Amino acid sequence: MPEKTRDELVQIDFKPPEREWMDPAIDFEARRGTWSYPAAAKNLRYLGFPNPREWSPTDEDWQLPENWQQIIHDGLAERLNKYRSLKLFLDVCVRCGACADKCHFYLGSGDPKNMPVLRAELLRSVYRNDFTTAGRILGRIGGARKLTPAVLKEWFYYFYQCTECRRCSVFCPYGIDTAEITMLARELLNLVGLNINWVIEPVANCDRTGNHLGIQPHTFKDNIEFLVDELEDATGVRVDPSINRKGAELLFVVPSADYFAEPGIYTFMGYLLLLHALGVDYTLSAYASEGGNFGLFTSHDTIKRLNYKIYHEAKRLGVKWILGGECGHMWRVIHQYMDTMNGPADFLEPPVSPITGTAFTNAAATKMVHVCEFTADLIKHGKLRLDPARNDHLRVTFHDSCNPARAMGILEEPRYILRSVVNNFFEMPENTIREQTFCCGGGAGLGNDENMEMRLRGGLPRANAVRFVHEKHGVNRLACICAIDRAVLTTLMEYWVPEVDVSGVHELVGNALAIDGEKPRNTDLRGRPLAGGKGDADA
Amino acid sequence: MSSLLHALREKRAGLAQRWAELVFATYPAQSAPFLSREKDRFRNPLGATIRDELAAIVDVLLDGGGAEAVAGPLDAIVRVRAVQGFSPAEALGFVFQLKRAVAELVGRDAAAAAAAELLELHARIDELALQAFAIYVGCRERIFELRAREATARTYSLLKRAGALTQTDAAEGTPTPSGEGRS
Repeated sequence: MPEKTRDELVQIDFKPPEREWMDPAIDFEARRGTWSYPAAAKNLRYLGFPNPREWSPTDEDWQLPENWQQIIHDGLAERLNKYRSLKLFLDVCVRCGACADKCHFYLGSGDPKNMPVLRAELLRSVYRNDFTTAGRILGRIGGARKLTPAVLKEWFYYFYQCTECRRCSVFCPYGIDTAEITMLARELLNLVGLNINWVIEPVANCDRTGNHLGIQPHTFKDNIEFLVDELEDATGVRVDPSINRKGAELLFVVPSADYFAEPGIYTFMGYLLLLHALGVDYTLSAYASEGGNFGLFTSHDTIKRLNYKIYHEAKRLGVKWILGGECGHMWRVIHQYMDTMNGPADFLEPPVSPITGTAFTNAAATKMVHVCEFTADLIKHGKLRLDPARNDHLRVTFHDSCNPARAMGILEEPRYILRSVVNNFFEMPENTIREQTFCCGGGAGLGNDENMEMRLRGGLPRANAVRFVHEKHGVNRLACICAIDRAVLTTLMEYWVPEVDVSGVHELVGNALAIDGEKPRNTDLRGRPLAGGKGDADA
Repeated sequence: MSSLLHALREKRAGLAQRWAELVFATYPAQSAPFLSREKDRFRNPLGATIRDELAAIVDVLLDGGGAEAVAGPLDAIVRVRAVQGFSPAEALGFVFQLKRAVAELVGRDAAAAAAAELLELHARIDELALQAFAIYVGCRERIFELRAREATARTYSLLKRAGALTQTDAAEGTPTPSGEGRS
């Protein structure tokens, strides 16, 4: 560190420097903790993606293709032609500001370029310059600017600082979906090799082995068996899930973190107990071993490529329909893209619950049912013996995971389940839940550790609401239905509200579920003692 | 009664407000008005935290509370500023801005007050700064702990099956969950 004179040391300028927003200069070195490491060359090569190389955002030279400006221009032209929504979103914004203060990253950082309107403006300004007459004539006065290396670097910084949670779009009077602008901007960045490893490595692994971590079939099987052993220790019940079994009625697809990571494994145990208790004829698959689809954070072609694997496996195994676990963006892909990209899934049957006979007509196109819909229907029909007192050591609130809430409308089912399996349930304030839920801050591939400061900033609005119910009601458990949430919110709570831990909804179902042959339950699935010696199988 | 403290107690709300304004001005100019204007603590968690907790600190200082009484409010503000990309000096500079707010509000009274009184007040603000420094360091250490612990939690069952977590298990039971995977 250069030596400073005494005068320099004592003179702290409290005001941040003012800078015209159109002239960016991101100092990546100074902003460590708020960006993600770039994709490793080996992963890009595996996927056949452009410009594989080893580089760092802190490098002056990002080793772009010589004609990178032309590539992006042509890429944008192609997408404007292909997606009418993109052209509309770029043209129609009147900068009313309704979205400006709705982004969790903006609310946690105060950085104006985290305002959704300004984040979109980063792309829109280049669109104006390249594709509109007004922009060409008026230039900067008309909000147009050229795509310079500095602007491209700024794109990389801010478009990999959006979690595509779509909270802003709820408030836009024109219905502009800023997440789609981020998605398209990331597609353009991918064309010149600007991507992050936390997205691209899972994509490459998923493409090769069927899940984000690259777990091969034999390890997948060993791991499931390990969890079956753990579950037997906790409950005395030996469950017997099958893997890659042809002719099963259902294929059950979960996010991979549910079978290898804390605390998702307890949610997975909950699923297994439930399906075992009912005698459901289901199979897991070592090939469709990932509900998550990081293609959503890469490009439309990649979404399609990864999603197809699940349906191909369902066809190969000859199942009737697909049951899906507690995953977030998986459901946005299924609900909003699958049918267009890989549909119709006419080789599957319209989903009907084998236990209640309920037809899930909402899933008629995709043939894939959310496990919360499945379980809520079971409870509604009185098919489960539940002892909510087994969760009396927990005081629970529910975080609406962004994608199931805003992209699919799964709002009531998890609440209905929670009210049936816990006695102490408390809602967070209404402007922080349901459609207005605040993101965990780590979606869309941003849940990596090098991006930790940005995650903690972005998580402030959510944590702030959790702290409120913790202080008011003694809440100590944050339930959610997304694997990224279970990872990111756990860390978030440890920083902001350490008294609260995180779980999936089906972990709490597993705690409460009374099942034939179980031993007296004195602990929950995590091995923690139940409240007041409750828990004998007396449901 | 101390005349300086008396004068400040009279202007308690104004002092807290002016201090908050100075702190809001450390954020980008386009954002400061929103942080200051929006009062709903869930719509504006950053602004509400700064405004409410600074007011709580002012109350403790003027009513003679000790370090323990101020720890909660101070923690709430420092915890936020520790992850907002500020340098350490920028993150903690807000404490010293209270001196400026005091001077602006009761400058004339301060001039008339005994030097000992002013020194006493400044000494208490300096103590506040040291307390904030300890919290700040704790927050930064926490961030790096969280980063390290996520690496274990992410592949928890694989590590446990491989026997890599045996020692931790034997000593403490299940490791504290601190993060999951990327699916």
